[in-house]
Amino acid sequence: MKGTPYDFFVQWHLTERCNLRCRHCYQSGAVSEMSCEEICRAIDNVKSAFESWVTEYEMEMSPSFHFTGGEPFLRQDLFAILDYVRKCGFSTSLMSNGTLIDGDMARRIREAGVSDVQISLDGLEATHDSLRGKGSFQRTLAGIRNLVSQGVEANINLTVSRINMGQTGELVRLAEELGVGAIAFSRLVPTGRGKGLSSETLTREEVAHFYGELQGFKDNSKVVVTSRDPLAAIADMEGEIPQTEMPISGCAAGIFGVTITADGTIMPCRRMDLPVGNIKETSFRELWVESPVLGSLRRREDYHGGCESCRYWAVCRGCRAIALALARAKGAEDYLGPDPQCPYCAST
Amino acid sequence: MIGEFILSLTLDVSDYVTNLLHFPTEIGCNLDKLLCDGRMRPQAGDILFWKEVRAMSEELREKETRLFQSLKEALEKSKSLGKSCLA
Repeated sequence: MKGTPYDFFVQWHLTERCNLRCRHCYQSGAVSEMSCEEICRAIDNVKSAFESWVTEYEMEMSPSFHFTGGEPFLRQDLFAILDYVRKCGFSTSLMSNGTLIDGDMARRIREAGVSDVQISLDGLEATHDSLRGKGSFQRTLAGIRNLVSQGVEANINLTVSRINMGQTGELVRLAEELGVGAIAFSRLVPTGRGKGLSSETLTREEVAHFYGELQGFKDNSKVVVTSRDPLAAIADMEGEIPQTEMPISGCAAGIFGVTITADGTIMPCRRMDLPVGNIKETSFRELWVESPVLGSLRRREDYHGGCESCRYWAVCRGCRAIALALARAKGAEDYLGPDPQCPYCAST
Repeated sequence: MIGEFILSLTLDVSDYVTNLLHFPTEIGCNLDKLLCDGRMRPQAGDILFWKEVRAMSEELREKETRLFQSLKEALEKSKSLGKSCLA
């Protein structure tokens, strides 16, 4: 045992093409796509960095690749890419709208050894269809059922806004009926097309109320009810919060994960439209150390507006994508300021 | 709207052509076969490229050492927190 595992993920947007046009999507336009060969070379690039971290620093790593889009099933070489990653020894998962997963596709996903598929579901039928298009709710549910019947772990992810925050109880019951592993909730980031829903983002009072309510469902549901939002995780923490130089958990951007877009652009997070390099041209190992943006996300002293002095900094830092999106709405290019929806931050 | 449609169509055609060039037999192709056929650069060669051709400077290596030292210390301290913290 070398130490606590470094859970590192690469979220890879293989395509920006999508069969839906969701109103809250973070996309703002189409880009060219890397070929399968370019993707495999880029995977080698990342793999080389992981190998160096393990051998030279004795890091115990559990890296994973999360493939998404756009809609990843629109890439005809998706299974070839999954096969390559699996042969490299990494865990794979998929994030999809579920509408293209028929019985045969679900079988292929199982055979490809994908650890889990995260399906986006944004409310009950009328709400979901108003955000994602008429008929998409039933097609998404069919996709989930196909995965479950093939024994593939399916999880639901919901983007929370004022539009759907009152439907949690019914959605948790629906998740139980569908037999998914978990239902997770993430806050709406008003970026890309999602800017059009800025007025539907939650206030800090609504965030506090929503995660408080979620806590009740966690204790009384047959399905795992969770959130990857650092603000939700704080409520679950036990004991003293360690005061460390480097973050321990919380927002993964630049610390525990990275995003690669369809054209190879590397970003700290897909919802932070902040390019730091391109995987086709850069050594991932060097970029991880050298990038000023990634470096600043790891340094407490670079934060301001309250986050830097918060006792939860090492385990939270709010959502950097929301901080950036709301700063941009005011004309500032600031990803290190306060998360304006944080109920724990007194100074904003 | 029309612009978006044309862009989407262009990407579809581009994707089709890309796939056609790389994988004539299409969906679910066997990458091992492609590697053997020489239609794809070997994985080992690529790793060698990133490791040796782009050797890290001493300055960068020192920076990397400090980064992983801090990270290991932080991860060690995370053991004292409840499990859900790491979720």
